[in-house]
Amino acid sequence: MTDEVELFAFAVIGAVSGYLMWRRNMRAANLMDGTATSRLASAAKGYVELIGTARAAGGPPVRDPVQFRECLWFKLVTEKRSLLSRSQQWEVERRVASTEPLALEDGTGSCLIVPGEAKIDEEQDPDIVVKDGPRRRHKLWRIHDGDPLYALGFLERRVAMADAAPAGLLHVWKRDQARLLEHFDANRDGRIDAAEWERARRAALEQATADAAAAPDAHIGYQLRQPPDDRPLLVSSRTEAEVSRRVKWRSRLGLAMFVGGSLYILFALKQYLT
Amino acid sequence: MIGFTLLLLLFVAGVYAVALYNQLVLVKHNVGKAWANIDVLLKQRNDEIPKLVDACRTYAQFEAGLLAHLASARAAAVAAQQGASARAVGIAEGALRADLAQIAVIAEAYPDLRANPQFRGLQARISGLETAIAERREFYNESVQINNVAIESFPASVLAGWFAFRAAEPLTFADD
Repeated sequence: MTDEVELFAFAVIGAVSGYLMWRRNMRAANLMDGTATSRLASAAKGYVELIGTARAAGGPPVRDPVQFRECLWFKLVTEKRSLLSRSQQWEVERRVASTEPLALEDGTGSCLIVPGEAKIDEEQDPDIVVKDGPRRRHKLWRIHDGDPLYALGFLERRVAMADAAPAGLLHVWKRDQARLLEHFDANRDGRIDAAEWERARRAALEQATADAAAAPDAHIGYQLRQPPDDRPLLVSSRTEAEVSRRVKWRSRLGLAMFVGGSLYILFALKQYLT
Repeated sequence: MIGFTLLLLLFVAGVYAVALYNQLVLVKHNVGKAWANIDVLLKQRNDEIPKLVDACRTYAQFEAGLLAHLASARAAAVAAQQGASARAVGIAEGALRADLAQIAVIAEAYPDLRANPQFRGLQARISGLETAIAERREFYNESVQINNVAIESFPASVLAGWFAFRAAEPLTFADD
């Protein structure tokens, strides 16, 4: 009886997760197939597909924590197999990824990708698996300088983003009224009048411009971001064909899990009711 | 059990049909978006042409016939753009681009005109816009191809027929 209940629970979980996997991957595949490849120099703001080469964005170099090799991005998943575990399955022990931005260059321009926002090489096989004894292994995904890069996401000019920076600075300054008065209350009347506010606004603009120019990635004209709707921001060091094949395969796997799980649920319910 | 299985298969087919329909809507909108991206550049380029004509006119001996032809080609291009037909825009653009190329060639014989900063600035701006138009045209044509393949492929072609999704026209210029 316990085994049957367990099996039924597995079927429910399999059907639900299979359904979600099918829908999510089918949508991603449709977006990939239905979006033409843009070139950065002539791309308009919006959801775009880009194909290019991975380049450093100008920040400090990144080294993976297993082989200590220099790369632009890494993700490490350490798994262990418990001695007491009945199933002998690998369990995730820790998951780390680099956060340093990287750039995609397509010959007409460069575009910044921030790893925290993007799903990089999600659901792809790891580049290497390093065994650490019989019961622990490290799965490592890496992107090196010069690797091909495929990306699907919301493209924005960084100039437009920098335009919003002074407003952000002013917002921060306004929170600290004492410092704001100290710096910009020229006539010391305890309040910021229109002329003083204009001076503060110009100072914010100057600081934002200086910050943007001093940033190591100042030469990169665009940034690929998470779209404002629920479309994905996908980045992969695989080719478009490989990513598409993988996404479609996962979509079919999800469908098979959903149909299989649902049929088992129906079969089990019928057995239970008769 | 068979009834439930059929119901399940029907559900799967329904979800798949909805995804196919959404895919057709996506590719159709992508074509519209790609067209709008070209349209805005064509407008910008067309706005620069009267200024170029004026700059050339200051040189009395510059071919008046060619300038008049360029002005009428521009008017035809603007009219074609308002109709939003890729074929009509392609034909009008072909004539306009030929005139612009001729102006560039003839200007070589007028050193004063070539030295005029306003003329040089306008030529550089128009040339930059032409490059951007060429790149966006490539993108538009790829979007058209994706749309046309999507609506002609089975089983999406059935849905495309029911919901009147139509093939889009690629944008080709006479000098292609």
